Amino acid sequence: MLNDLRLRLRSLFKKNAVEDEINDELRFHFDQHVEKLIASGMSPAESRRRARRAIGTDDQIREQYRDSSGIRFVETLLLDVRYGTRILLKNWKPASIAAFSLAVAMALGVAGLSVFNGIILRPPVAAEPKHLVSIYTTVPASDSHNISYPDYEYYRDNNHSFSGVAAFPEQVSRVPMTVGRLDEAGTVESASDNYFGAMGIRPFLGRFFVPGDDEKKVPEAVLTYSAWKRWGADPKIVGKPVVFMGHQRALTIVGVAPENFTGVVFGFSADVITTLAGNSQTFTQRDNRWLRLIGRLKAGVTRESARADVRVLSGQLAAAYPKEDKDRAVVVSPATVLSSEPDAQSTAELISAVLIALALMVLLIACANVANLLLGLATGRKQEMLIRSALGANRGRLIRQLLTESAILCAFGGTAGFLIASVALAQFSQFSAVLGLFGTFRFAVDFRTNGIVLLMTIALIFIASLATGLTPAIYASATNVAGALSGEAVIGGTRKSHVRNALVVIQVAICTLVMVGVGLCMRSLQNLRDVNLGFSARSLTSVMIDLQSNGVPEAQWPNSYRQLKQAALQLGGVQSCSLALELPLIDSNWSTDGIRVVGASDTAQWNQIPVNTVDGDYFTTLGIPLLRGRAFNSSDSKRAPEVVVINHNMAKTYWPGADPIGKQMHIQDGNRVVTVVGVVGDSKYNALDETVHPVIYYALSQHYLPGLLLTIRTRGNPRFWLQPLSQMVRNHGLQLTFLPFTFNEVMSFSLLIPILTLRVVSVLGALALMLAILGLYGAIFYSVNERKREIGIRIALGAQPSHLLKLFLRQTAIISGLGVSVGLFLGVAATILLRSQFYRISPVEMQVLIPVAVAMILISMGIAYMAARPWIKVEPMEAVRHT
Amino acid sequence: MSESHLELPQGTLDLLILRTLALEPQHGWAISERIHQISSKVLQVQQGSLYPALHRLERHGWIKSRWGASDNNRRAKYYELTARGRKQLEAEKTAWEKLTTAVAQILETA
Repeated sequence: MLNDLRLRLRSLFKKNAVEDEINDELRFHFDQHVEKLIASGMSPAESRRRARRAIGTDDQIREQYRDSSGIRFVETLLLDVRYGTRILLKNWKPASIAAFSLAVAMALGVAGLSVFNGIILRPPVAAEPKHLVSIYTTVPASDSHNISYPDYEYYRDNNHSFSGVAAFPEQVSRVPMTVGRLDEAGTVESASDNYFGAMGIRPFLGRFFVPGDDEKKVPEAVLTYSAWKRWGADPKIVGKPVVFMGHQRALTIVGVAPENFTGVVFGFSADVITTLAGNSQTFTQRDNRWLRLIGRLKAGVTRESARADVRVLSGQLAAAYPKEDKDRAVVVSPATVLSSEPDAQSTAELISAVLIALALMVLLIACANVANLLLGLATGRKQEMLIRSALGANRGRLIRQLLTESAILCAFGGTAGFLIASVALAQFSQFSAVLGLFGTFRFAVDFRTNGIVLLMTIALIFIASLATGLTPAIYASATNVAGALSGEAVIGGTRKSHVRNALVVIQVAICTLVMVGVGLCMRSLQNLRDVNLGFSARSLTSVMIDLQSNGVPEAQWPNSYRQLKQAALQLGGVQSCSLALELPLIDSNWSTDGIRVVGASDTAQWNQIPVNTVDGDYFTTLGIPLLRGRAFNSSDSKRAPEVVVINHNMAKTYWPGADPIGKQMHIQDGNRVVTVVGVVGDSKYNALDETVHPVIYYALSQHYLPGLLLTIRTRGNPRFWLQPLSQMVRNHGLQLTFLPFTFNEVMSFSLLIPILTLRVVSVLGALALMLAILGLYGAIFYSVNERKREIGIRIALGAQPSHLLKLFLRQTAIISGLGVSVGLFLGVAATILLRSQFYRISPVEMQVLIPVAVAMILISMGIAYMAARPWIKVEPMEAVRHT
Repeated sequence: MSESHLELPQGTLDLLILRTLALEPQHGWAISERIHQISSKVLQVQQGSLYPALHRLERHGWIKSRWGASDNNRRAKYYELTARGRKQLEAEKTAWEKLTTAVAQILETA
């Protein structure tokens, strides 16, 4: 068999040499024969003639040789490719439209696959990432999945399944800092001292943290490679300090991480990683939950046994510390790049799936386009196919030839698409975005195309070739020799026009579906924008005041806050000023306190209610209406009985039908009793799309806090007060940890994701529309083209051109009507499936479906008119002669 | 010179070629001459059958080829039997003998 293969390959690659050998062999045979005949007495000329006759056709020998050597397939493939390329070049107009559609659609497909690859498939940067797992807790009532430091220590020290358990907060901060002579704002994350060990990464310069570093007084720092490069790539940076401005802390740089490590938290490009030292006050707070855990499985330990092990440990914790750790189930799951809450993983999967689905739909439209174009080309080559078949080609051979042509188109389009996508995505792998409030963050997500994406692209090209080529190939190779050779034209519709119409229906349906998607995104965004906030967000500017990290002693806090507030009021154009712990829409979670209404039975549960601590001017500054009672005032001091203000929803829930003013509640934390003195209107607290829930406001004068948000209501554009506020704070000798911001920035930040989604889907929609228009135009053009003869005859017989136009328009209306209906049906199905992702969208959203339907039909009619008109106008004689 | 050509089934030609080469390596012309002579001029192998058969046998690995000089110093392609070819020859000879014996028996008795 090897012999066989060797000879076949030799015939393939050294074709000329082999041909020469055959020639030589046959010539030798001929010469010997001639010699023999001469020796037997014949004349040379006669001998030659005889010998030649005996040879027969040596071409036949060569053919037989070639046939039997079985390299026919590859040879014919190469022939097909050459021929196909010639044909495509000859019809370069439709071919380039086809290639263009394919390139665009393939680029989208590749982009979708790369995103999927980048988010889902790529493992975290670590040694043997398959052995890494995430450990976090789930509690039925709350959203927080974090673990406290004492619990982390317990898991770390008492497990039997992990060679290392590390912890890190899922937090990224922008901190102004000084490195050497550079003053910058850097992105800071932190991790436990054993983090790098557990991840199994080796440092690029210097060293990483070692166990024990968390106990030091001052945290140490590791730079990421990108930060090191950006800050001068100093080879002697190890040992130098980096000073955090707000906290006046100098951290020693112990090392630089390798290039592929972008940080602890997915997606963000961090600059500095610090140890957990400096958060030592949390080391004993079992109810302060702020860490995520990541563990490396010991050799031979399965995830299941690790899960069981951790469950035992959490049971022990729950038993030993029922107050803090009861009801906490622990989850162990494989660590992915999104090694965070379970929601992030499934959301990411959903996003990727939707993106890929959309991209594939656009690809389908493009394939239908190309199929239609190839079908159009096939008409013109009917005669060619017939001649080939008459010469002995069987149907399979013809189909193979036509498939080769579509494969060339798809390969070309696919390669172009892949290159376009690679270039575009390479731009994206490092980009920064201004996240309004927090400053400029650099994102590091690796969406670049790689080998895996390339393989998937090749598979796509293969599928596309079949999808586009099979139908035209089957159609074109079905030959009716006699009829077609005699030049009979086909009048009216045929099986081919059914195929073409079906393709158009598919295109229109998919385009409609994508348009419905765009409409849903727009509607959802509009709904979010129109949400009743419950307060007036228009002219608010805020700044974060952190007295504690500025070293102000606790006794001074009331005074400092008062001075700041007065200074703010004295800035020109400030209508009112307030201090509060939380502002709406900034934090996705407010802390909660357990409350129980006084008078309820003692066995009643503690209800967890979100709380905010505000001063007396909070409600007027934000424009939240006071419904009953009063807001906080100067009589609510530390020595006076504790008072609270509640929102309308809480009043309704806990004191239905009664006046809550004067009623009292127990507060679990500290076992206090508070009295309700006021009821305010409901508003949005954490997110634009949340449902309303109870909220309690504490009085700031009874609970001074180390850091607060100072908010002013301005007369005029709030942006003009950003600078004055910074200045004012600095004039009081305080460092700013965060720059001031307006509430408009908060609003746009909340709307960031819906806006981004709308943009992406709109781009896809525009592409889908463009391809569908191209396809529709092409299909109608060719269809009318085919029926030229018929049109000419009809006009010659007296038909009005406008009549014929109406005929075509009616036919188009039926087809696109069918397509739009299918598309709308699919659109409703998609809405039902994806409803949870949108805001206040009903399953049959008329405001979206109707405009889309109308638009699609109008566009189809317009295209039909434009495509058919030139042919209708033509001279009858011209039309008939054109065949 | 008109000779009645007997149509040789494909398998039989292979057997004849292998047998001829069992004696010594020969080129295509010599093989066809040898077969012609030894069969008392009954079998004349045409070029159109001979060379494809030779190439097929080579692909199977039963014979191998090399270029050499003929008796009259022309460049000719010589074929010779390989070890596997010898085994194949034995196998086909046995099969042929069985077949002909069986056919002869039927012709005699019927």
